[in-house]
Amino acid sequence: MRTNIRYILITALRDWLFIGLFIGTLVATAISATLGSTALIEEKEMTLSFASGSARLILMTGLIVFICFHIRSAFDSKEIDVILSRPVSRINLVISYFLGFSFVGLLLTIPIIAIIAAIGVLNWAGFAVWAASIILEMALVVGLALFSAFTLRSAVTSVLACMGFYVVSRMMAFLVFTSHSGMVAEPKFAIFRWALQAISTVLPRLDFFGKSEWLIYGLKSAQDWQFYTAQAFIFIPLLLAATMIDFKNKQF
Amino acid sequence: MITRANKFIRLHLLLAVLVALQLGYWYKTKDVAPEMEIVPAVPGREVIHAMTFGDDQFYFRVLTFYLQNAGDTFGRFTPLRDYNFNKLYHWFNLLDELDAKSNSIPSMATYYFAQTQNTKDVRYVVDYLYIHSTRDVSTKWWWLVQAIYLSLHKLEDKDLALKVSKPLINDTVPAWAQQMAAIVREKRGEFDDALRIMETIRDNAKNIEDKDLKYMEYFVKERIGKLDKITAKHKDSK
Repeated sequence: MRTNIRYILITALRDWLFIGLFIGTLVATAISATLGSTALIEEKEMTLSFASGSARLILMTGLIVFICFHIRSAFDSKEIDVILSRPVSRINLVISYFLGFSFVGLLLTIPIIAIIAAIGVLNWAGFAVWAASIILEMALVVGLALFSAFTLRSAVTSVLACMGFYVVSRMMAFLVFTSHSGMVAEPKFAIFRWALQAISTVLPRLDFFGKSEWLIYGLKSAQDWQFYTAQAFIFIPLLLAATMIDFKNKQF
Repeated sequence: MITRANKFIRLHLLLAVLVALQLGYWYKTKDVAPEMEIVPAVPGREVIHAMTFGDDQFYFRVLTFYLQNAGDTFGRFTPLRDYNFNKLYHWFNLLDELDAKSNSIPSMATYYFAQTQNTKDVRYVVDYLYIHSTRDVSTKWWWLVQAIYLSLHKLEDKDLALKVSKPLINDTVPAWAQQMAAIVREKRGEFDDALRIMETIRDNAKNIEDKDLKYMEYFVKERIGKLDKITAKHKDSK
């Protein structure tokens, strides 16, 4: 397991993942600071919102692309076959990949948190909750990317599917709101309502994670951190279990 | 049989024809520009909430930036009189859905958009400030004060100023801001109401500073000439 984790770290270094995402985050923060400085008032709030939102997007996109391509190339180059020829179970392999990618993700998340802190913390409790939510969101996205990469045959399809899941999960609040709205309650829209509810049951509520308002106004209530913590601790094992089951049944 | 040289010439001829086509296309379309409106169309509530992708604050700041620069993008400088204030009013209220705590939108409305050369449009700004402030008067009272100023001095509409001043009578609002309600009534010639408001402030305020008390005394004595009435009332109660 440790070997696999080390190998993932080396691959990340080889692919310039750390430097690339760090530079990307710095550029995004610089642009955010420039745009924020043009605000009529609340320059810092604007800078913080832009920087946190763009950094989160860069981090998640970078992780999704890296993980999907890494796993697919591992399948294509028969690396997975070589690993499984050793006394390593498929379950252990999935867990080691998850831990390895999560560790890389954590190394990428820490500079982002530091950059946001350097811009200026307006509310320490909100900042702590935001930082924790970014780390958990990162772990959830790692799980999502692993699931896509292990179940789909092409790297590009995995990336697109994962990004699609991510976008829809981020819009989950809107889907839930629509499924409860008055128009959808009519019988002729029953299929639409059921479809929305079905989608909302199988996808995670990523709209609970990484809210920029915590950085500015702090928490509204304990529910702010409880919701995303519960979601992460339920959905990450769910994704890993689904990945393990699919991988165990895979013939290659 | 096509020789190599022939093939070479044909390919380059084809390239030349295609480049010429592209130049012709450019010539015909070079003056076709997008229709840039000044204030963009106001999206629906549902669209706004869908586009936040779970991060309301981020999208709020993006739209605030967008609105602040509306009309002045791509080398344009648009006078405020050309802005559609009805659309702006709806934008302001829509953005309050994403973040009603921020002072960005009321600042923009008061200190920027209210400077419009078309004075009638300031009505939209006052209406917005009233809706925005009455959600939470204890923190947003400043914008009611600004709305009073705009009503009295820009729109010269004392009825509107009266409507906007009423929510200021609130013991969580600083005394000097509450006094604005009395000043509006004094401007309307409603001296008895003005006196009643000053008395309410005096009776309910948790802490009135010396300068506010002095102003109230000056106001009652010099502006509405009711100091004798109060003094007599005070003597009777003793």
